[in-house]
Amino acid sequence: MDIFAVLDIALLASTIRLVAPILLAALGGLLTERAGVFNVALEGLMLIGAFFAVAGAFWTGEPLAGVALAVLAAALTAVVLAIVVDLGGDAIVGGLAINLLALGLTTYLVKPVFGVTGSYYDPSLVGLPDIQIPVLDGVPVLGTLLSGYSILVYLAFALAAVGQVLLYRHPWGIRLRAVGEAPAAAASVGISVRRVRFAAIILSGVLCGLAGAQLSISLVTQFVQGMTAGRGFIALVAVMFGRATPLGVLGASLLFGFAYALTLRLQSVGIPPQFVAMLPYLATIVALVAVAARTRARRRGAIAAIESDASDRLEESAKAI
Amino acid sequence: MPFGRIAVGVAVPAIAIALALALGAVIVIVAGDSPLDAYGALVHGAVGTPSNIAATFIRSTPIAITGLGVAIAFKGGAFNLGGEGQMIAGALVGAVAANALPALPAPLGTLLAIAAGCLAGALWAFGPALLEIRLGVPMLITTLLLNYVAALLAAWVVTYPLRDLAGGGVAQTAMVPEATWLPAIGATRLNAGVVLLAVLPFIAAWALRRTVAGYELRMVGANREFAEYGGVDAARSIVGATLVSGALCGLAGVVLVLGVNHRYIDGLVTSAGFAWSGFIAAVLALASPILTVVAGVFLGALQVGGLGMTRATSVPLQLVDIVQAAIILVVAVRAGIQAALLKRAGGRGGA
Amino acid sequence: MPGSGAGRSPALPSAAGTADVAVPVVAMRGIVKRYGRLTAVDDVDLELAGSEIHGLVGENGAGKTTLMQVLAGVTLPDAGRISIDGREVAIGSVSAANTLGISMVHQHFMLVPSLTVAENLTLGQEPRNGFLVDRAAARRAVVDLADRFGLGVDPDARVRDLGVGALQRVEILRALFRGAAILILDEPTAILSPPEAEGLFRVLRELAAAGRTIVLVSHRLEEILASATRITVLRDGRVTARLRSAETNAAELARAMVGRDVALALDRPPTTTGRSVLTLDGVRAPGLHRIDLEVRAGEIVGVAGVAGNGQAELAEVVAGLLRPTAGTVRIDGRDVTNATTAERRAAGLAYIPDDRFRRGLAGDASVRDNLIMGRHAGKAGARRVLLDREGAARRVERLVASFRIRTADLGAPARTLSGGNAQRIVVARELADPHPLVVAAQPTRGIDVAASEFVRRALLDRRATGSGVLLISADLDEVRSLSDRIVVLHGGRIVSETPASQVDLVRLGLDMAGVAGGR
Repeated sequence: MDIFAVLDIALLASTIRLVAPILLAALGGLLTERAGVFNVALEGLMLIGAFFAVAGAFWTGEPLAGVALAVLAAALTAVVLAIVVDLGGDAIVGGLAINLLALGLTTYLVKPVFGVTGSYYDPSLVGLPDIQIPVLDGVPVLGTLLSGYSILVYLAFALAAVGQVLLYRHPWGIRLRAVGEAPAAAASVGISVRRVRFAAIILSGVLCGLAGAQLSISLVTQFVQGMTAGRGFIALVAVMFGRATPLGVLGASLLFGFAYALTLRLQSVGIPPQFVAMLPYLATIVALVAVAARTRARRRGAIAAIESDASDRLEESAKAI
Repeated sequence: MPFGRIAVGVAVPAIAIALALALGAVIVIVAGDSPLDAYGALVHGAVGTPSNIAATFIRSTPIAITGLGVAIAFKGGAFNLGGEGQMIAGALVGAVAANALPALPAPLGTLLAIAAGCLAGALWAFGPALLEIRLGVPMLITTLLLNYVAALLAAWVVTYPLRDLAGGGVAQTAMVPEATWLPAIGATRLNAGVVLLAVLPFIAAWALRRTVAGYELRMVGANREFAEYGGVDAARSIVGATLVSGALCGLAGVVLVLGVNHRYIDGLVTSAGFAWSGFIAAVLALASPILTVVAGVFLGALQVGGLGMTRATSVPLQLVDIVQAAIILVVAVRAGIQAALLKRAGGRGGA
Repeated sequence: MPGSGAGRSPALPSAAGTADVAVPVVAMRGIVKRYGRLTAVDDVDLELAGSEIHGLVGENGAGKTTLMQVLAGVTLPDAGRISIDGREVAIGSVSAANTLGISMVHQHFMLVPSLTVAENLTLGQEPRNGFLVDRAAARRAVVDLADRFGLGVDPDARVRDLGVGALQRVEILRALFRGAAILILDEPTAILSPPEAEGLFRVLRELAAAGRTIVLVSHRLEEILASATRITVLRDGRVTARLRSAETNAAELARAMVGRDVALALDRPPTTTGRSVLTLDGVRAPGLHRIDLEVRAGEIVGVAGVAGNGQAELAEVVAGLLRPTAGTVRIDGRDVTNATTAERRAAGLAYIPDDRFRRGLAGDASVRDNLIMGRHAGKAGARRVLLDREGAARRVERLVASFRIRTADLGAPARTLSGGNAQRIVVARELADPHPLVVAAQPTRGIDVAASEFVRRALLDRRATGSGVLLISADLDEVRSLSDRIVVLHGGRIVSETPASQVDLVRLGLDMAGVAGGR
């Protein structure tokens, strides 16, 4: 097998398309991570988005309405998580509960909404159109690479870039970072830590809704039970691997998107599909190990002192409040 | 004030279950059915006839055993979300071992296959445990990702090298020899695997309370710094607990194969969501071994009853999934609820 | 009238007060703050004038920090009134205090490590240029303010990259940026090097000259004398002296701080000291500089000193929780420099850690489980696998009885017990067996009088039965009443070592305060 036969422009284009759901969800995870909430609910929020995107498109015939419904439904589900966290509940158990709830709810709703059981596919269902950028479209390599994606793909990349600016240059971004890093310090200048956390969790729902829509009405046009298949957790690892910066998360997501693209490609060259499908998960585990090794190396450095000091301060403030 | 503490331990799950069932009732009403009919059919489906009760226990066995596995990891403060992968490993390896073994006197082949399944489950959990202890890679995520890998690997095994060609379109292993089947109990559909529900939780509770390793694990879970200061090797304790946890999940898989399906079928573990129900049981029982098994049987009853409900009414089976998820959602908030309750219970006994 | 102003002199026409402005900037009257049975601040009056640096001195636990927390809105008083500029106010929260122009610079900084100095200062009130933060404007505002008071900071530096001196300047700037007119600094020099401290005082004088009111809470008498105009001394929650720094000296301050009879009369029969049970030989570690120390069987060596001068590190080096970078540690003759905690326990160490619920106990585990830790596994045979329930039950019963642990239910989580009872668990576990060496770090911190008394007697019992005890305590009374020898730690060094019978209080106070030439 010629290894280069699988590496070409089409593969990169496919990467860009496949990276979008992970990137969108990871940007949502980035927001919660920055607010100091470990959000394992990305998976479930994305699944809710995927279902309601199809439902919206099914009811209205308009894929953008599907996107809107996906965002709304995922954001509402995120409110549940936000309430759990706000009440001082366990974010991890709460997040896993959201995942199970999403799986049960979406499977349940397939019947009343679409009148079938299991998965829903209808050739007449209209997905998001691919946008052909006029002039660019005709340019050989660039056209394939930059033109012909759904609006959500462009939005994902744009949000990563805009997010980088917002996180570091907009007051809300700076406050968000302060809340996650030193909640007592943030509270001491009148920032409502609870409100910022609440907003971050709901926004992560919005982004996961978009991610789910890209999955169910752009990459394919159908809803399959549990179709996110761990992408939410892969997005979570992308947040860690990208050090919770928007551009870092973009890079990490590209890596995992590439693993997905390779999956599709390798299937066509005779490797058993089951092995090929493992690729994204294995790549994610490798990335996790890399993150851990990096953190360990850094811990040994001088930053450890400041970090431990920061956590001391946190405890101190917890006692004070 | 032991009575107060026990009351608190039961109060939170009870509140959770009540709220979740209420939510389920709302969904049923919205769907245009009567919740009384639905829940009536559910109760009947679960325990209405001897045959239904048997079905409940058959369903509960893997749930309760994986739940126990998850609970033991919880005791040491470790999050094993890989029950599904470990159960797949146990089921597949158990089936393969049962087929590969030469004909042996009756219980021997069964026991060896069970041992192989447990070992496979433990091995599938070993990597994440090691990564967490050595490098600090969160086990929560690695165990979860390995579920997908296990499912795919098992799918490949039964699709290609070990496919039962007589099975037509179904990807599955050959049927295991009848000599390795778990014996049926009397004339019922129950198999000997259900006996584990009466035995394992007590062994686990005993081990946690009465053995040095169990004590050390509980202390590591309660306060790792304290345990290490007391001379406990916390890393060894956590790895050990994760191995036991994986072995129990593997056991759940192999019991399912030897007791019910008599072969590994692709999707056997995942489609029924056994391991996640086990996880819910462990969370619901706040990791108490005996209560975890009780919760596991309760969830099994809910699911089997759900089938009855679906037959009798137009309410879909997944209502049960929603109720289950809602239960742990409430339990997730328990920190707040429980602290408030404990304060009142402990306030009277405290000095 | 040093020392004689004992306690509750009402609205002070004291020697120090008369010459000051008619309406003080801050007037605190009859402030009382209780924590359980402990009265931390007991009917204290304090007046602060504009443009002054007011020194507030006292030992650990004298109530200085609590009093200032009341002023800064961190803590609500149980009684008393506060007026600002003659107007009575209610300070119910930190933000209420901030609105009144009162700001406290804590020992732990309230800064966000990954943000720049300018971002930290403007957090929550960021200048905008249209949509985004106007970085240039933020930078300008910070530099202007910093220049005005000679506080040199780089507005673009990330806080996590700054040293403690710079961090402190940023913290002060942060208070000023938010309009603080009354600035409280709690032990500001505890973490600073001498040149940094000097720089800080320059800034503080500058601020006072510009009309701000500064309260300087400190143990360091020399720096208080050098920078404050007036000084208030607290002891046991009461004012013991109000002085003008120009009219007093370090010895007088030290006497006002610690001068009193030993409150604790404990029976301490003479013992004969035996072999060395703890030897530290040239030990260095982060926070410790060349410590040479020996504890012998049958004696209690007390470590006195202001918190943060290496006491915690000393305990951790002995317990095996902090690795020395040089030197050797011997427990009962065995070199344990690189040994684990478990190995040190085997060598004869018992350790009462300073933070009960961090290391001393598992709060969620039962009283019973907490009592058997460390003794739960046998060395051989079945006891390595199975807990010895009867042995454990006997032990638990014995400890509960002899250490008078009051609990209705041995299965109850340790967390549900009172502080004193929880500490009894730790003490019982560590002192029930005849370990050759006992390290007791702050053994009576935050517990009631009866429990404290009990713990002290338990330590004396161990001494009587031939253990050596290293007692590290911020409570000077405790150190004095229990110890055979007293060593003073300052800046991570042992600055003095004195047999208890020859201790001179003033000198001890000066040693603790790090006053050079105190002896």
